[in-house]
Amino acid sequence: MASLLSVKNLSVSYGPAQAIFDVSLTADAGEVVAILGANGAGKSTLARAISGLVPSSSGSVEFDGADITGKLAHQIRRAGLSYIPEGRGIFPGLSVIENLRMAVAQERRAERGPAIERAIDMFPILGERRHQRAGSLSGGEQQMLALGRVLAVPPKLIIADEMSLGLAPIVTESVFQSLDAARQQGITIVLIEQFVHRALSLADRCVILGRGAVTWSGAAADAGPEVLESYLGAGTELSA
Amino acid sequence: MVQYIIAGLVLGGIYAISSSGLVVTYESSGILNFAFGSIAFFIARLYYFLNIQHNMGITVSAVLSLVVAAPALGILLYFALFRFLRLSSSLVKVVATLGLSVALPAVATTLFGNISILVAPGLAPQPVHVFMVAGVPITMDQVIVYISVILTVVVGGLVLRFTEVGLRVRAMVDSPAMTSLSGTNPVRVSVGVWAVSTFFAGLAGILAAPIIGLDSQHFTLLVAAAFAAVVAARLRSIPIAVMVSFAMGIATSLIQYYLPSSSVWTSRMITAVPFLFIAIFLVYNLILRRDLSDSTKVGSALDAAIEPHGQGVLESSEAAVLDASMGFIARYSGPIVVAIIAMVLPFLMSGVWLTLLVQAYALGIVFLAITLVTGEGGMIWLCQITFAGIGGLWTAQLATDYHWPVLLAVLAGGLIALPVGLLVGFLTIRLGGLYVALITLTFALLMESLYFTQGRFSNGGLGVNVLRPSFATSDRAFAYVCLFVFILVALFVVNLRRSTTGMALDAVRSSEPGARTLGISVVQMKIVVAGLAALLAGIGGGMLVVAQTAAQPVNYSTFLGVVWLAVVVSIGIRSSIAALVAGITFLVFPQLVTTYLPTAWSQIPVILFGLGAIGVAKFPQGTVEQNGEKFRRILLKQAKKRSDKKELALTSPQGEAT
Repeated sequence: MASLLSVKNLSVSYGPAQAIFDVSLTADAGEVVAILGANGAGKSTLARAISGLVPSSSGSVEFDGADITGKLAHQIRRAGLSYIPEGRGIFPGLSVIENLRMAVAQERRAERGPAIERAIDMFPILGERRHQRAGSLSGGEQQMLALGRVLAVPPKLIIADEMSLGLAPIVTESVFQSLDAARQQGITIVLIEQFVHRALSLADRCVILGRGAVTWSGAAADAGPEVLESYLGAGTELSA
Repeated sequence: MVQYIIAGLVLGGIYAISSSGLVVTYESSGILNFAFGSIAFFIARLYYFLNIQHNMGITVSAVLSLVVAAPALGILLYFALFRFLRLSSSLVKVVATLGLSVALPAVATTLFGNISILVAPGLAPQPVHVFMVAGVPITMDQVIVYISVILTVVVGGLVLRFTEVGLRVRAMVDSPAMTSLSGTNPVRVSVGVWAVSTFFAGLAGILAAPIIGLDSQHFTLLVAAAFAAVVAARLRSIPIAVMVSFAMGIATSLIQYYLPSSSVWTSRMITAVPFLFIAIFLVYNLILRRDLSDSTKVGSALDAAIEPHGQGVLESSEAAVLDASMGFIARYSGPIVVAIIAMVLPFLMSGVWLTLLVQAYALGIVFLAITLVTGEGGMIWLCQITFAGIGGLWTAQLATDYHWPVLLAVLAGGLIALPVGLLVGFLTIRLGGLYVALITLTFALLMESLYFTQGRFSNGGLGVNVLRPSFATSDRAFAYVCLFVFILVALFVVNLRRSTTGMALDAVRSSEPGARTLGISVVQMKIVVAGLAALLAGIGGGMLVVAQTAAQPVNYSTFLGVVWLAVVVSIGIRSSIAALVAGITFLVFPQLVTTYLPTAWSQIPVILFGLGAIGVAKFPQGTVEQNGEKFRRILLKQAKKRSDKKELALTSPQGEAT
């Protein structure tokens, strides 16, 4: 079976500095793929290149049977690949409801209302905070909004970039539960995470990046302590 | 009284349309459109062209110019210019839009004919119908302005707040990256915003034409008022911009009501109104100590993270490697060649060309001041011509009316400009680059209309004559005096650049917070540069006056200063040689056109100067630097070849021996 997402020999440069070297990875439909790596390994750059925010210098990206290399971010989003960027994937200056309206702006007019209702059903807190400025929500609520924005119209694939960053453990747990629920719906997830073990418990497969290149990849179950320690360094055990 | 307030509200309404158009485009694209006034003039001129010159009806002309041409111009400008500017530095943004503001009126004159327009009709049919409302006459033109303002401000506000389109624009303001991640094409939103913005500009232009006259200079003043409102709104708040606009309109009218219309002070006070509002704002902020360091960045941390950067670093490190590998001659080959040409030129030229060349060398000194304050100091000052004016006009006063030796008068002129520069520097020092550009522009306009108009300077329109020093009365001799002063000043600037102060300036320019953490006093550095630049501009202005043998206040109009900056930046803002080349280009090139091309082409130099500045959007370093770099690369390659050959010659015998 062809993969839903297939990245081949992708390289990315920021001006004179190359951040990603010949990275290849695949994600099959319904799969959860975890991308792990130390700070500065190139995880976010890889995600930005796949989602069209930064241009790649060579290599190709195929999604859902079509070549999306060099396509612009909004075209890739419309093709069904949603990227939740590191930090918070929201418009801080807009209200909660306006954030959701932006998320469904590409849908047909009649479908926008029900889609927003679905997001609010999933995360009732968004309904309570409807008219509040998104930037004034708590970190956990902002991530709920980011997920709500993405799940209001379920995409084929979500790239979730460090969603647990700066969240309290209990909130992190609920973010992972939401991602798990999305996976139950059949959405493919590419998970970029710092909480290695929590990510691996959700993931089917795992790709480890080091200095902009793939250093290890395999089934999540095979990513035992010795693999993690040698590829991510000692101290990774502390997380989760 | 009521009648004056009604007129004031009309003027304020036009300011309001302009300032809200400026704020919306700044918010959504990060570009403050300095060409807004020129776009307004262009569309108003097109309307006049269709309505009067071609006798089309008011409706047809209005639809063609406002609904068809204005948005089309906006879309064209977006694809030709504005889309490249989003990620550029403040300086490039300001200069490129200023370049556009220089070129557009010239294009309009070329396209629509160079005719003097005494009365420009508005959107109301002629003769303008006058309503009597409670005993107060209101013209149809005024009613149309009121309707337009209400439509613009109220409907515009409602659209932004409550519609899908408005939501997308506000989303763009918040974060362009997130907008595209939501599946909305940011380019389409930007194109829409620019189209609407030029529509507003055109509307403001057509509405303003009957009141202020169809003259591009008057339009600059109109936009200066709109800029004052934008500054007061701290570049962001449309409601404040609108309120301040109305306040300025009413203030202008009340001045007309209370002061006698015959007094020169009335018209001077009116032109000073925008600056007074800015002054109030500046003092208010000084007292409250609010932070006005505008970050021109649009969007969030994500937007900052995906911006392409690092290009400049690569180039500068390459240039450093290049420099280090060259000998003295190769490193300074460019300046030496240009200096030799500059020394030979006065011998080769004669007549009008020589007269222009003398002035070009003197102008080069003023341009060095621009190099210093903007190129080295990183401050976008649009009032360098004011300092040159102060220096020049006072040189004539001291030399002719007070009988000082002329070169001493030149120096004194510079010293008079110095404290003015320090004052402007002190007032704007903690402000962000855009505020500085806006405030220095309004300051220049203020000085032009309040100070330079004094009788002692204009001398009944004749200006004040100046005699050249007795040892250099001929053009050729004085050319060498100017060149000598230029080289002295250039060496000073080059030395400053290489000194510790220069390095500190470099640090301040690339990052103010970074410079602060190194222990550099940013304020002190900027004050030093501001004072020095004013001094040099004053001396240059004095030399220019002596070169021209007369001091005319009209030679120091703010608009001309904008052209100066445009020329200097497009030739190279960081190079002393470029200042000289810019001086020659600025004076000799237009003469070439008038001498050898038909009169229909007379606007070509101004258009090209404007286009040159627009080109900065693509080549931020300017042409001299660009070509200088290429020239040095060629030299380096040849040097490399030679040294390779030498090495080969040295190593090959050994190779044979072993």
